[in-house]
Amino acid sequence: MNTGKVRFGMIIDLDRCTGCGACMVACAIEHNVPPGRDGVTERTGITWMNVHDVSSGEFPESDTAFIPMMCMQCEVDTPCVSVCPQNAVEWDPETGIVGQIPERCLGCRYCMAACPYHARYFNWWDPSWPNGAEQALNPDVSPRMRGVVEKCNFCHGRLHRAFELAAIDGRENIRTVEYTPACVEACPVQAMVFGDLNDPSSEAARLAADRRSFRFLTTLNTEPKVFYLSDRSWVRALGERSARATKEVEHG
Amino acid sequence: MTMKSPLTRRDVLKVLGGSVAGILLTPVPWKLLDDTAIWTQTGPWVSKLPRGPHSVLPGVCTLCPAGCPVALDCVGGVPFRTRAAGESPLCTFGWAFHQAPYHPLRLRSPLHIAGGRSATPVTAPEILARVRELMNDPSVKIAVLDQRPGRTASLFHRRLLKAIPGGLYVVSPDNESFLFGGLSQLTEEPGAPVGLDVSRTRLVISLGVPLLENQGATGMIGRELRKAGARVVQVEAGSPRTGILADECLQIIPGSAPMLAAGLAAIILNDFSDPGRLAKFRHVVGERYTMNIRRLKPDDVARVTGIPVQNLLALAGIMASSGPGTAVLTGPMSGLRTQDDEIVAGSLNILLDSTGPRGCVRYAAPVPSQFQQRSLAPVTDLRSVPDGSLNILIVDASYPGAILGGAALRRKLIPGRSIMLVFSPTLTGFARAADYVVPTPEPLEVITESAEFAGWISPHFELMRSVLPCPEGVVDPVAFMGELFGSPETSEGLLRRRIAAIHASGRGSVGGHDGSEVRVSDLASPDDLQAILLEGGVWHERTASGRSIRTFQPLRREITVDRPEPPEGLVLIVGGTRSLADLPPIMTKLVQESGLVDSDATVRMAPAIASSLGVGDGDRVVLSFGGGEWTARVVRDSRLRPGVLQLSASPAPVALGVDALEFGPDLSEVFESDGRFGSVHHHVVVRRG
Repeated sequence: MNTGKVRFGMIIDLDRCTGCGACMVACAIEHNVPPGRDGVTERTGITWMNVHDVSSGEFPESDTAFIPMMCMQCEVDTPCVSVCPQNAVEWDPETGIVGQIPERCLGCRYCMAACPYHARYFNWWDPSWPNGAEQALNPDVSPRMRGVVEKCNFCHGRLHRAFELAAIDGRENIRTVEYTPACVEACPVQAMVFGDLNDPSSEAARLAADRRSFRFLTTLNTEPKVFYLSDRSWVRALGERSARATKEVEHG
Repeated sequence: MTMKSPLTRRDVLKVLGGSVAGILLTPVPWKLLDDTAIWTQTGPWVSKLPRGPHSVLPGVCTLCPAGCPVALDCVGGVPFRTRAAGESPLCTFGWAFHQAPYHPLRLRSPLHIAGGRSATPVTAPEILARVRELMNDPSVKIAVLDQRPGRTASLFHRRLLKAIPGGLYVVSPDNESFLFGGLSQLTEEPGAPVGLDVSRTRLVISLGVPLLENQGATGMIGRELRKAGARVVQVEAGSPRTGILADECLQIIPGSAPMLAAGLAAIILNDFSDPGRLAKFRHVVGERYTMNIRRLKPDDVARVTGIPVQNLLALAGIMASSGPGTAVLTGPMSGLRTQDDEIVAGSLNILLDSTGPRGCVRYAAPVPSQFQQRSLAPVTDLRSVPDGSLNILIVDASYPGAILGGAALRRKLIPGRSIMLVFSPTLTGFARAADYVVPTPEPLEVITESAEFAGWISPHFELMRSVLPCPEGVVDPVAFMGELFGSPETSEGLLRRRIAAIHASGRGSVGGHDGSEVRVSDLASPDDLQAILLEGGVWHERTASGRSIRTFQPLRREITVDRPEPPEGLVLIVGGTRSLADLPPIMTKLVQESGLVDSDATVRMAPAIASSLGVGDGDRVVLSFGGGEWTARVVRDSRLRPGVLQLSASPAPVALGVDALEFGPDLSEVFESDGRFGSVHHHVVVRRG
């Protein structure tokens, strides 16, 4: 719902993404997501940012796209918010960010069932790191315990830090350049743009309104704030598929 | 008269029942649940966050030769985040740079590995004694395989090997430093480092170089080429994962890359070449080879490579018209198996006259006087080392991401009278195939140097300072080699002398992270230069932009081009990106936890082939071919040519909880020839696993 407040959103250019996975690694490091355990799978692993390798057509007329998927930060009737019995998922009216509060989470996983984007992950194990790597954890983000759900929060820790820096400067508001999620910072081909969708002068707002822009599962009317760009019609058509169906067509 | 109590047992039960029901309407039970959740998160088993003063350390990532500038965010002096500094972004590996010292299979003691299956701790002096025992034989053949050529330590290895008879300094063709492997062999100094001048390149024909993967040094070259507006034609034998993102992607039949190179040369020679270029080409590669390839018909080339004739003619035309702006690069997925294959491809650069200002012999940063060229052992291609010819093979495996199989190296040893010794910080890759493993420091634990590579044509020199304490038990490989050869030295001492040599030359300047630039001649002492380098400064000499290759050495042997028949039945190609096993375990995000990157447990095949075999995504199949069998999980990939199976050669990242001494099978052990990138295997049988 556009209330005139800040609405942070992300725009990902799928015609630029090369599927290198730098965003995935930067995200995991930023949020102290531990490496996978022996036997970990796509179902039991934790990847707040998950890049899917999809293709279309048959050899030799095939085409490739890499689709980074994360929490879409639904603006309206956010499914995970409405189903949480613990108020562990909160939609921030100031920023539009859907936050996950692991301290409140009971691990019922209703939110995982409700999320149409399969962008939520359950901690099947207590977090652990090898050979003293705990000393290299990001001091701004607490590790989550076994039994709670977690997901992308647009690097909320970085938002707090930006506000702290603004406060030190005596400002109430942050500047755009002071708050950039780790995945956006990591992308080596600048395929990701982050900013205030409510600010018409922002690059993010301009790209969100671009003719190449589309979103996933708009038929659900949850107004996701992650937009994708592509000139390719088959890529844009993926936007109407469910995450599971998209997964099924990954390689034909 | 007695008063009857108004309270009955029923009343008490009612109150209790009402209380229980009513309490659910109060915040008490929910608060209790919340608090329980919070209490259980502060237990001693939950990791505690580091605390301390924040700082930012500038430096360079030394995981690969690209040497990208980084800024390390530290808390209490320990890096917790690596960020890109300057204009060059970081690749996936660079973001995990600061986690390298925490690998789960980190070695703390030298190991003796018996039969490639069980490891027992030994001491460094015991290993030295064992190697010296073999070195006492005057006919001993000793080789050092340098997985990170172009460092000061590489010069040290070469000097030591020059001093002993039978000493070989060996490099692997799978190393991404070599993009001009074939061309380099044709220069006046065979094996000389050849670099690519990206800024003057208009068209790149990439034979299996993963330019668009955005990983490591080749990824950096790819980004630079894009930035410069160069057109990229990607030639792939396997699944063109990112190849499709190139301006044009040619999917050839596996094993036909040499034929494609020769065919393109034939079309250019016959239809587009001028007499001057033809004469030069003939002078270098020989009259007979020139005659042979001129007889190649486009139809034949099309049949063998699977590329339509019109596409071949169009590509040759574009190459000819781009002329000196064209560069033909060869890489690990090219399918060019032999040195002759690489020469066939590299000679295209001569034919197009792109070896003037574009492909240049790189200048190195000044070196100390004892490392002048004449005192160094020549560079030998690993493929030139015959199987069963070495008594001692020492592998300086300091380059993460190497893909060459350990079994392929063991074949170089004389059975029964040999030792394979590997320097490695972790028990991964080559170390698992070794007889002895010597644990070495990781970057950030010692001062490390960025190696030279083909992306630079002007000399560079970069260092990353040590930030973390060096763990006990690790050994400096330079000190070990110095002791073995009776020439005491240390890595740090070597680097100090290199810095002194650069300072003494007075050449070039050193640029800081802040954009400052200081001429070396203005610095009072080598210590001043070292101080700037350790603050993330980069020494470079822009004016020495590489020496154009003007003359070539004619080949002394005849080269031929096989005309293979298109394969029948299923063909297996070994592909993938590169080994993630020796990189920090956070890389499990890319492989086990998402499937974005294949590991050696993945085989790709076209959907039609999967249907005919009765398998689908995720099914396990056993692949049987010449040398043995391998089990892998099926991924259907409509981008693959029907009839081609692609097995990744990349071991998966090491997940937590893996037993360090639980040696799994090595893919390279089951191949007839070797398990390298691009190797092709015919007559593959697939059955459900």
